[in-house]
Amino acid sequence: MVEDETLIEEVVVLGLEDAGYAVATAHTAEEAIASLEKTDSTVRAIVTDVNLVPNKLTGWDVARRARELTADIPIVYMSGASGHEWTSHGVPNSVLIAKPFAIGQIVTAVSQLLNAGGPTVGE
Amino acid sequence: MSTTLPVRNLEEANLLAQAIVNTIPEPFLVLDADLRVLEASRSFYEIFKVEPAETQGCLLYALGHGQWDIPALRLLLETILPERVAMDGFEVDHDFPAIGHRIMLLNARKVLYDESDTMAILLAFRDVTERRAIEHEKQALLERSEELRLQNEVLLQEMKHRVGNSLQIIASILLLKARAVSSDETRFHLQDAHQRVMSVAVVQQHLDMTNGIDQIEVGTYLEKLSAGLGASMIGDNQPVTITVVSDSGMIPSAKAVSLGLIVTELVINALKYAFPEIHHQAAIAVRYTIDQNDWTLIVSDNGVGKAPNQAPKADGGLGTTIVAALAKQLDAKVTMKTDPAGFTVSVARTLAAAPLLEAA
Repeated sequence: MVEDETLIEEVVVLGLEDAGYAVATAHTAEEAIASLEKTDSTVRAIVTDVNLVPNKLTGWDVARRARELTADIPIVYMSGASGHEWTSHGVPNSVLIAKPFAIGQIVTAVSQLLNAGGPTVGE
Repeated sequence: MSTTLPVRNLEEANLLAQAIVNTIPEPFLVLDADLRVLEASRSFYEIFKVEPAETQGCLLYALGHGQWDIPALRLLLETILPERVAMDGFEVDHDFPAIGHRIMLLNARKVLYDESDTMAILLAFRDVTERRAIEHEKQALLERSEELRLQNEVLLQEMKHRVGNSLQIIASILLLKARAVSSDETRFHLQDAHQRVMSVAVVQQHLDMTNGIDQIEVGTYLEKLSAGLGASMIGDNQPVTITVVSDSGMIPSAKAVSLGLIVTELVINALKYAFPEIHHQAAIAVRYTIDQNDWTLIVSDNGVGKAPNQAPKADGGLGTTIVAALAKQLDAKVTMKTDPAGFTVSVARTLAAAPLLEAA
């Protein structure tokens, strides 16, 4: 779970933990990519904010790197902007949830992607 | 049909030709085969600030200290014209000592005589300097406004992102508080407040998709709003179906916010009070109909209804107040009906009820 805004991070983590997931967090794209690249990484799905200020890398980069490491890993983007960038920057079979969202939307998206093991769940 | 010019001899023909040349507002030259000036129009002298004495009989290129010795003009007269009889709209861009930088369109024409091997060349000038300047200015303005439009687009995207993020932070605080408090009542209040923030946010998200136009499609908006309410308010222990049936139409975003908040309050109320016991087909219906300038919003449930003499719930008070205030803002009337089939609230705006407020 990658989010630079602590309050938002907190709520998403609580929501995912309530749903039974163990959550590892990162505040920047760089941090997230570094932890994904560890050989003992057990990450099964990624929830990432898109605009991770003030760093150069964005949530789009996190997802791209994650897919290089694990071909089908589920990706859920969170973004305040509308989804038109998603079509060009998002990885295939990902979900974009617009901010502000209800925590249930994130949990549902993660579960559906994990259960489906692939196909896109449209937002 | 042919007409004969009213001239009797060469002299008169000459006079007529001279008069024609002098009447034309645009500078005009008659040259011989050697490019010597035979005649120049009055406007030529005026515009290029030269005297007849230093013009007539002179070679074109020698005129006015060689100001007409222009490569483009040489090309026209020495290369293009010998191959063809006429050339129109030939552009010459030149700095003239007396009148400054000018852009001219030249029309040139060879006049060949039947019984002579001499010829004349007619040369007409049109000064398009100002026209070009206006065209350039127009082009620059167009480019500038396109640039501004793109800048605006970027700013708008940035604003949307920030508003979305800010609303998310507010919603997160309310949700975190709701988890932290020990009183159930306070927790419900905080959850409701969270829900209200989310409902306002749905308008924001919809405006996103309609590219900054301050109108949103009411049907898709209400569906999205209700889906959001369902996703966050309905627990696994008591499934409730929320359906939306709406006429399609565009409404201003300000009205959408009010309408959305009314729906939010009514749906929250229904979820709280309509199904105190497990009901397997629990359902809430949101209906929106448009009849020209009038509209009706109906939110109904198939729950237990409301006892007629039941006092408003302590925590239901705020919801009722909000609905009343928002309905007033929309010039609409709130009607409630309870029967064994459930509880129905209708919020209706009819023209007859508020004829003067249509413009608002």
